[in-house]
Amino acid sequence: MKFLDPHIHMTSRTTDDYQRMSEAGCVAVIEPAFWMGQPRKHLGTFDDYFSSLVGWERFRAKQFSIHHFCTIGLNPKEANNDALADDVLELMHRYLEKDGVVGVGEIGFDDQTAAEERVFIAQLELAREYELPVMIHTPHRDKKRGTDRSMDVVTDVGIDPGLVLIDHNTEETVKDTLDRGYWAGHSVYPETKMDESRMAELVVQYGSERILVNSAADWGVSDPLKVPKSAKKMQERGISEDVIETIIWRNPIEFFSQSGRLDLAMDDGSPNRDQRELWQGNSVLRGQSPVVDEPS
Amino acid sequence: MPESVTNLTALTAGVAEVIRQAAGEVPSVWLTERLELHRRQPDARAWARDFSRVSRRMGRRALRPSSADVSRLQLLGLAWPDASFAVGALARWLLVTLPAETAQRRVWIGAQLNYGDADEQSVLLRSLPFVDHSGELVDLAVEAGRTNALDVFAAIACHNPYAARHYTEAQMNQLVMKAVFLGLSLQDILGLQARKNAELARMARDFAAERRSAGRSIPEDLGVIADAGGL
Ligand SMILES: [Zn+2]
Repeated sequence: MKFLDPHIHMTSRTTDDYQRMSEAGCVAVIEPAFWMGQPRKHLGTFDDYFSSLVGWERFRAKQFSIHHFCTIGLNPKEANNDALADDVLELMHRYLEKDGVVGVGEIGFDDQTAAEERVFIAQLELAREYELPVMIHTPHRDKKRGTDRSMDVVTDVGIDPGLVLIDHNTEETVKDTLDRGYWAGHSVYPETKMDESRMAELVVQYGSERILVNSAADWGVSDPLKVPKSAKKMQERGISEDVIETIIWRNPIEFFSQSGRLDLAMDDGSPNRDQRELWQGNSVLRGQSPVVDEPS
Repeated sequence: MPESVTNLTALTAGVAEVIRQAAGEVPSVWLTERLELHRRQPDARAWARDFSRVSRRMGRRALRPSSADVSRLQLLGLAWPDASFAVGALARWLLVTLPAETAQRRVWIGAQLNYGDADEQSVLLRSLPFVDHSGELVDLAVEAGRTNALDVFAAIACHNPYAARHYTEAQMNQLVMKAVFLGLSLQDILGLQARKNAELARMARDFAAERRSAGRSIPEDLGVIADAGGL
């Protein structure tokens, strides 16, 4: 079973996770820029973070035969510091044109403040300028209203819903999201948000069109194998292989291909796994034997 | 090496032709138009944006230059790209070698070295011997070479005459020893023979002693920088 996890924060994960994901069939990941669990205070920390998303993290993924792409954005939790937010918006111009960047995100609302709305709108304008799709993080608190409001903002700015992925949907939000023409992402977590069984029921009800599943794994309690685990639960529920493959493979590719940069054909399929390769002079390996795929 | 603008003009024309053959007509027309625009109306942000996206515009195909092309470019001083090199990277090189006012170029190259991904940084370092004949940008090269990213370091250390021309003895010695540590071939460091010195020979000797104590092998080509005192 091959899959693409369209929302996972690999910077927070270990090489064990990469190893298990690769064995479970992961071909590619999208790593949205997000926050660090506490607000950052300096522009330079954003700069180095964005830089690592187009640099070191891509290399780490490649060592496990996984393509790594990212989205660049200022998340809403850090959008309330006006002066810093303006600097980050300016900095984004430096990164939005890079080869490894396939979207603007994750952006949207958290506390649903006016400052958050201003930064959200500015980033939708950036997505238009750089011809990139958008990944929207829907708020944990007051979710239904926040999701509707996010879509209203997109409408006001005049961006085609087909270019926008609304993420972290639940049973309460998915119908509106799909009815309004957006792509609907679902984060399957060990405890909160969505679980595998609910996800399978949701697919029984709504089918596969514009439906995505992700692990949203990060530094919190989360599981980088939630996409294949959800697929397994869908199989058990009698959902067809074709529908499952659409959800965990074709849909994320179709959505992020709108960037013109999701180049999975690069290197004839998966990147050759060669763990002997060095990065910054340091192999990720520490003493164990490298896995080297023979060139096909 | 081309020391004059005339040679650089001939070289960029030769490179543009190799790119046209590899990438096809439509991307080449786009590139020519953009190069012309940047000559006429220099703008840092527009230039930086093209510098990042040119790889996608030109495609990821490997360059497959004919042997005649390779000889022609080598005669003009471009020892670097080989057949495995992507056409987009060569187009990036063209954007950096755009004739422009030096002070402005320094700012642009410096900024791109800061914000570039590894591919972008490598191209910038490879462009230095063509855009900077006086060594004005040497501090940027030394700083960029402090990375341990192998591709980026190799871009300044290997098949690139810039360091041998402009580095101080201490800077050059550090570059050479770092190449040894990273397992790069000393044969690939251009101009090394002329930059050999007693201090470098001592460093090589100490390095060899350290390796012997650790029971590890000594790189075969270390003798290149040894003196009469041996290793
Ligand atoms: Zn996230």
